[in-house]
Amino acid sequence: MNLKSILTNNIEMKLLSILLAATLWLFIAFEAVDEVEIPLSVSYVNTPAGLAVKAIPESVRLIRVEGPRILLVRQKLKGVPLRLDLAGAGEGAVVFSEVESTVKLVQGVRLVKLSPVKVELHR
Amino acid sequence: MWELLQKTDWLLTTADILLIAFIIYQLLQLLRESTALRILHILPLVIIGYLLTRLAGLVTSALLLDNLLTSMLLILAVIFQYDIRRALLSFSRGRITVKVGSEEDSSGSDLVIQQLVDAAHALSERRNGALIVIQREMSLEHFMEVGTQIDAKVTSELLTSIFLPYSPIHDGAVIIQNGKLTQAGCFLPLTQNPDVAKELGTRHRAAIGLTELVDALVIVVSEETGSVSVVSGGRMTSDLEAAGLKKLLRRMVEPRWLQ
Repeated sequence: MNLKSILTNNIEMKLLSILLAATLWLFIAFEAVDEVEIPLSVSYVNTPAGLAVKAIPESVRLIRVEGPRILLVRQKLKGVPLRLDLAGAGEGAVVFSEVESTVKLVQGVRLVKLSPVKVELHR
Repeated sequence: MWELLQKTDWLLTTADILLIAFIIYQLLQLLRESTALRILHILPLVIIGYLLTRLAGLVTSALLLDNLLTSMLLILAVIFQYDIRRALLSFSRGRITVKVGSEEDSSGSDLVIQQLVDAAHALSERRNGALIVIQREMSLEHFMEVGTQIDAKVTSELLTSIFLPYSPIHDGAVIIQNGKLTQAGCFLPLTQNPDVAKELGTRHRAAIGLTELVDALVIVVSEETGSVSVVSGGRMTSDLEAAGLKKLLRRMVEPRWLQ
């Protein structure tokens, strides 16, 4: 029996076996819990007149979350929006230390770490 | 998705998938020709559907499919119960044959087989329908509740007289246990397999039905055509001549089951 006949003999069942194995792998891979960092999509409201916000580099506006990989993919597609209220802020640095409660995550995804967000305002 | 694929070691993943595919293929080989096998085609669709609903955030659908997948092992075990039983039986039977078959004296069983072949031949010539069940590993007690107890030596004359059309017990099956004819007029369960040919009558359906449940071997003589068939594991070998029947019985029935 040559290699070709070994591969092509009962081909339908062999393909079904590979398809089943691949989907099982996908299922297990996507259901496994993982931890990733996702950049926050920061937006500002009530920016004081005459002041401008200095853009926060992506490297410091990261949120660390954990959950099944499939939900982490969904979270990445959706993004993590964060609205910061700058009402009453003056020139200089403003630190938002408790923003965890305002972050909306996909159900099943858990927040691991969110550093205080520091916003710098200048004229 | 791309990150997940990038994180993955391709060589290991491919080896992992191929190993699982090999195991699944071996299991499918055991279940081959089963109509229940078609159900496995929807399993990948259910898994992909589940992942897509999770990705799309369809909570109810995901929950429903999640529960379906969780109970899938149990569902598959129920759907494939007969196939699993048959596969395990054929596996254990193969081992026993190697161990015991060569040591047994087959002269006693040869006599019984010869009587069975003669009876089948005579019944076939007269166009008398017959159903002869030979017990192998699994007990047939459950199917012997209805019927007439006989407990006699297996002879061609006795078998042909039981299946004479005016005999009160000619409609049922006779059961042979350990080389003795123990029961006649027994009712066997009919197969529920929709793939069984429509032209097959009740005797053949009963033979297939019984052998789907237990490992017994059944000889069927058709009343309409006089053809002799042997059914085992839900599969039928038809139109057997005397020599073919004898050869098949000697191959499929171990001497110890007829002693």
